[in-house]
Amino acid sequence: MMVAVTDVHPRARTSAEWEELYLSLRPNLTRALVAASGAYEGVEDAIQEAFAKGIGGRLERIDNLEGWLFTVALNSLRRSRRRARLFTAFSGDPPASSRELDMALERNDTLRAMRELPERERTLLIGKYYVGLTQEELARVTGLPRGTVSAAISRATALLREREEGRR
Amino acid sequence: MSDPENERTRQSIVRAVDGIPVPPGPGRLTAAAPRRTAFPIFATIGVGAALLVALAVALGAARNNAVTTSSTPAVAGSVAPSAVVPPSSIAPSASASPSAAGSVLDERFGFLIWGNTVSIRSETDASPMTSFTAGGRSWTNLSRFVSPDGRSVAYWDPAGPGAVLKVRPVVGGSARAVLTARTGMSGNAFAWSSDGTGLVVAVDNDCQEICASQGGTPIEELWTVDLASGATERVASGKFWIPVTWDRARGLIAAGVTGPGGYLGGYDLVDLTKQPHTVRSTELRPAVIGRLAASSDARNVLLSYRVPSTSNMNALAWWPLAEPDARHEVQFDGDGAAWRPGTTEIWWVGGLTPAGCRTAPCGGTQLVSFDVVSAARRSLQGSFGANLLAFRVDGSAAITDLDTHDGVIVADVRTGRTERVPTVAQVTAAVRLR
Repeated sequence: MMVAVTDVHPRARTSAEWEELYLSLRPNLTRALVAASGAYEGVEDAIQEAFAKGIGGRLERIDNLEGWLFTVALNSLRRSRRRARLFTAFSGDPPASSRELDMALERNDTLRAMRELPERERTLLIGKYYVGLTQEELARVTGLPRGTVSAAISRATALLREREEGRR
Repeated sequence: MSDPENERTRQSIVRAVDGIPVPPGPGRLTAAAPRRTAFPIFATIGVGAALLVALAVALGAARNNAVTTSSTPAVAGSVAPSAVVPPSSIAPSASASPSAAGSVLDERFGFLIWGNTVSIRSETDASPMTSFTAGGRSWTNLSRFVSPDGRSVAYWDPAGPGAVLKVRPVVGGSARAVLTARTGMSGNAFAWSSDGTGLVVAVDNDCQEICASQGGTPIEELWTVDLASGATERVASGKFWIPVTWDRARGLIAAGVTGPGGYLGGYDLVDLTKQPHTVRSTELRPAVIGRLAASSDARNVLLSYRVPSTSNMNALAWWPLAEPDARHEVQFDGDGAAWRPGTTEIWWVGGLTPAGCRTAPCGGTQLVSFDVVSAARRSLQGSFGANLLAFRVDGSAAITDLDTHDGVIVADVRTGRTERVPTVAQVTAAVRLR
């Protein structure tokens, strides 16, 4: 699980520190993005782009760095997959499937159930329970008004339970 | 949902997601991740001194002393690079005491430093002369914070919904609000007009990427502010603009166009002389990761950029502000470029070392300039920070950013002499104190 880390060193990070952060955060970021988006495709590129933006920004003012990286990477992933879909729509090539993910999903009821949820609901659940995003961050990443986030999470959770129980 | 149910959900999701296999990755931040080029490029009006073209001079007191120059006739289209010819006689660069030949630094000028707060300090004295709190959003760091004369700074306070844009003197005086965004609208990038009498400002409802993927209506607007009268006008809407400059004499606003993911996908010219105002758009195809900057006279625009998913080489192009189709590519080995105030020269830090200079701490061994009118190319040899952050407001010195972001190297553009200035946070812009 990802643990929110408040930046206690408000100076700008060195390149070596960014590399270290990348190595330590990459595994959980990868899992969270794969779980939220449903596929491995484009995830590594999205993580790299998020770090690139982080290196270029003033992240010493961000409290939840992992949450920020997750949000930026997820948006980048959505954009790149939209382009890929446009391209494949013209080229007629089907996207490659991920056997590893499929096998992992088959082993786990919760992952299988989450895969059946709409993307927004998956994002809410991963964002809240795995990444640790705040209500405000969840509102921003999903486009929901802040005041409706709690209710949306409740509905998403209920939907997840329905899917899981439907499989038992 | 009860707490125990919440906890059960959390545990099952965490267990499930933790079980997702993680494929082996590249093992490091790769070249696909662009290096930090976080420097605000702003239009300034400098009192440009005439730039002397000189051969390398070896002085006992000089730190850096290699200057090369060459020129080829200006041609439209791609400009062939000129050879950098080493001067025939250059004494080895000797470490020199800056005091022996006078300091490179000038107390009349200073830095705007953006840490937890924004502070202004002199080049020669680390004590903050001014300090205030400013807000920012995703593209605010592309704003041209400092006025062309270096004496005023614009900033959001706050930047979120109902954002307020303020202007204040660099030293002394107090801030005044010049634009207040309406409810639900947040402040984003802005730029000063080339004559320093106005601002062009982008505001939006913070829904660019969310609306693109989830649905919803993004609201994006471009506003002008006349500082003397306080008049504001919404001049365009419907795109996510990054303002570059406003040429009030010609009634033209230049702005980059971006979209979800942050790529620069276009270059727009808003013509304020027409009623209603018109927007002439030029697509950047493919979209790039890059920055636009206008010369201080708002006659020309440069784009330093990288094409995503291609080689990690950065590229540089320029065009007359009102003629984006007359685009010229420039051979470029830097990582971000800037106009020297009061000139038609584009400068960058070249000779990056270690070679490639992607994420390792690195520096530059050349300060390179290219004159877009004469095609003259000049380089100063020495030891510089890897990024050209800005020029001193009068164009007499280049300010390069150390890769560790804990200081800058100020380089005299005439002699190439340099001086390092440690800072507690990153220098964002150059200012004039008096």
